Amino acid sequence: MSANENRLCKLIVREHFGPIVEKVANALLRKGRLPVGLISAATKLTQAQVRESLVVMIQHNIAVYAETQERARIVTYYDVNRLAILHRAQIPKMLFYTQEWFEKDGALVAQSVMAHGKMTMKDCIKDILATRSTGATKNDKRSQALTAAFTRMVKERCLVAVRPSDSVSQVDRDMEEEKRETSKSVMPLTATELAKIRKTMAQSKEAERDSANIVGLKRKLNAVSELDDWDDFENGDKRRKTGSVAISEEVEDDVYFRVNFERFIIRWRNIKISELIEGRLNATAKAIMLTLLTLAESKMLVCSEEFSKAVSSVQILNGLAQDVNLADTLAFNESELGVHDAKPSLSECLDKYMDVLEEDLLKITKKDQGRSGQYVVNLKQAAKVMKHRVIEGMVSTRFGGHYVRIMNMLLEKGKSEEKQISKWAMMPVKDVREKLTTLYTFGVLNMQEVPKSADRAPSRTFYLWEVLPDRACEALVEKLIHTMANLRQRRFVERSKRHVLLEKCERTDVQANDGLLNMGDKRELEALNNMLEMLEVQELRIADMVMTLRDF
Amino acid sequence: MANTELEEVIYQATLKSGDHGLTTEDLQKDHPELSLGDVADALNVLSNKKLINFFSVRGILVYKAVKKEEASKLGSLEGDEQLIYQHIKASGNEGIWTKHLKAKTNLHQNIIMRCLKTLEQKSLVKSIKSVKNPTRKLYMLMELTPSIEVTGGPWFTDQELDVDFVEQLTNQCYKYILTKSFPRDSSSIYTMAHTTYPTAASIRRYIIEKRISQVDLTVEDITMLLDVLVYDGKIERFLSTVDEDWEDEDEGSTDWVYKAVRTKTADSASSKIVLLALAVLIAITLLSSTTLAMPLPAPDDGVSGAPADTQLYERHDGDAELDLVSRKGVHSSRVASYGACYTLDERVWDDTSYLSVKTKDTICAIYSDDSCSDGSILVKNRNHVDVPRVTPGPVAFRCWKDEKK
Repeated sequence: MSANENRLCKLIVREHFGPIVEKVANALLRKGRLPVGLISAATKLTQAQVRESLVVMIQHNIAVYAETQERARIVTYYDVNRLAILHRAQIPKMLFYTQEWFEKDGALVAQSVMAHGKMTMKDCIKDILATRSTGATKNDKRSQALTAAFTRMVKERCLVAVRPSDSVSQVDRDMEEEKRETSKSVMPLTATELAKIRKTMAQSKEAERDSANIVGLKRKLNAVSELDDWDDFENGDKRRKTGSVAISEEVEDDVYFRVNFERFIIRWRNIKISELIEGRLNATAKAIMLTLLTLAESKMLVCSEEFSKAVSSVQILNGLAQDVNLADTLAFNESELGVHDAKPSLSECLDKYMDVLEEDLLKITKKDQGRSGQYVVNLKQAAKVMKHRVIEGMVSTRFGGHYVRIMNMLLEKGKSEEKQISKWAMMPVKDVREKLTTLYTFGVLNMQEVPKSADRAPSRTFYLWEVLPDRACEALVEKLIHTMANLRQRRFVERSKRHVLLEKCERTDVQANDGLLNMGDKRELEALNNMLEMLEVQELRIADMVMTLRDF
Repeated sequence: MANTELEEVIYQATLKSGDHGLTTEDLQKDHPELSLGDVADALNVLSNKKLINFFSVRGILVYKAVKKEEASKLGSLEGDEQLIYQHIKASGNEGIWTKHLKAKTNLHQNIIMRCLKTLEQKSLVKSIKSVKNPTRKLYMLMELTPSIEVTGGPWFTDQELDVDFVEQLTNQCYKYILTKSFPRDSSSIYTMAHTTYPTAASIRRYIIEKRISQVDLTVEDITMLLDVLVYDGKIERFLSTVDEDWEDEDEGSTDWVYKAVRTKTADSASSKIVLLALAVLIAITLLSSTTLAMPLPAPDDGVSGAPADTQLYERHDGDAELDLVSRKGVHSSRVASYGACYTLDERVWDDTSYLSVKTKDTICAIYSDDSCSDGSILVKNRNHVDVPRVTPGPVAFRCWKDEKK
């Protein structure tokens, strides 16, 4: 909600939707929810322009509306969804990973859906075929492949269905529902009754979210599947053979879909956890961790869950890729080796790996209670470690290892005074004092004054320092968002500096024949593209850190 | 009995009683033949000679002997000087600040300064500076060594924390722990059965044997260093799982073992940048609605890197014959080539085994570390040596031909 976040949101909207939508978004970002009339007054745009902008924003899932009754008339308020705007900064990364996971067709689908905000599968495929037509003969095959990719993405929840209610703001929906419940009784409700109603509402919402069936998929009976077995996504594959008939799932035609960034964030988190393990142990441990998390992924619905679903070691062994080297990457004790130094079997090796993972001091993996051979991942703990790593990395690159030492020490020991810190960290007091204030202004540390006398003179006051991880995360996210906004703004500046050249490039005759550009122009264009790429990569890296600190 | 003899008897008696002191009754019990008047005279004489001090314990007079050498020191001092000397002596190895001395003695500042000056000239006291209050001048007896409180322990030189020294030592500790934490092959890890991670005591032994530090370090000092490494995120500590059974017996001495944390390799960071750059590239190609035909390079797994000591297992031609002998006999033997540095794996080398090196016309050097650096040489210039296992760490050896022969 800070000024920096507003600025970043504004810049993202400007880049993706242009200056008029930006004005509308800016008004909503700064002033909160507004009806059309007030937006038009604040932006000096006509009401028609405002309405058109709002349609664009609602189509792209970054704005919501709410209707409320004010005396005789119904007023419609509009608001923006900041999180959805900020997610748009990750579009390049999202497209890259859709290509990784669902191949080229998946990336095309994601791009098309992203370009239209929300669309049905039919429209999506039509759009892709229209823009990238490969000849009428191949179109049939192409559309089949694209359907498969689309269905897989829906099954794996990378695309989710949008219902009309999704465009109404969440708070209003809740209020509406509550009103409906309360209006049932004649008497005014007591506080406990109200609390009860709210609780059941929250429960039913959670149940809806956690339900295994995916909105927008319908089941269909097929004659025996001579269709090739497609890759199954754990429990996404609901196809059961009953006699000569198989049940397969199809995407409904009239349902609109959008890209589900929450799912991508969950997957990126899983990848990051396995990379963390790779850093501590080795590539094999990473592969095991990734397999474990992938097997448990279908049950992950939000990032804030504490534990992953339990996965047995047999499942992991089956799920591991063939080229993962289990036996040769362990250094065995002599007692563990069989006769003639024979190495243990693969499943024994995996058990040994699981032991190592379980005993790892980060305490990320643990055995499921009560059931042997089942493992769960402590996602909260992993997120904590990753956040700490990010903060540590920022502190050490910005200031140096000594600062990290002080930070870690305060994290472990709690509130301490500078003399104690100097003793434990083995640094002179005067250095420690300077480092503490630097870290304090950076936002990592927190200070507590304990005066010895009533006059609160600094010389008679203890200054206790401590690290509050959550607060540190918030402070650093703020800084990072600021940087992201700066990087984005810089891109605009670089482009506007060379707007004459860019306009020339966009002329149809120049696009048809790039010989019309002279050497200087070409060089300039290349330099610009390089710079823009660098800025974009930087922004993505920072977005990555923000994601770790805020979304995990 | 002559007076001097009487004095001697009384002095010896008080000396014998030591710190408890002697009362008149004790003296009369031991020497009933002495008359009280004579004793009083003798005590007066002794007191004048500063050989005896008087104390009053619960109303009873107690005598304590002063050693002769000390008495001769004191004898040459004036009254004020004596008083100050006593106070300085009482402060022990903590030392006493001049301001406190002034408060205790009620003497004028100038007198105290003068007395201290003479005491220093007679080399009875010395002045030191405390780590806690570097501006204060503390005085203590010449023969005492200042306490750790005052000097700050081994980490302080000239009342300042020796940052470089600390840094060097922590680095050495980290290197040692790192070599013990992972197998030689950088892509593999130890199983849970591996328990020989270093403890503070073994690290101390290593530092003493390698003579890294000139200062004598206690296990507590090393633990401090290791704590710093833990905070730096370079190592981790945990309780050894093996010793749990007899942990209960000696309560309080928890045995931490230490394990290094792998630092992120540079290439993993760079591959990440490449990945993000690719993401941008893809986004650009997608958004600019060109075809997606651009092939993606296969993701770089990072170079796995061949183990550093592959040549160890290759047979080279050379004249040195190296046998690892244990009680059971020759454990393993190999032929070494000139100039190459070989490291013996610690796992095949237990406490009872020794290394036997036979050479024809070569000179063999054995080092107590695995880097073959000249600083840690154990044996040199012989063509047949048996090296018992004395050091806990790995041992390296290198053979080369004697050029002079």
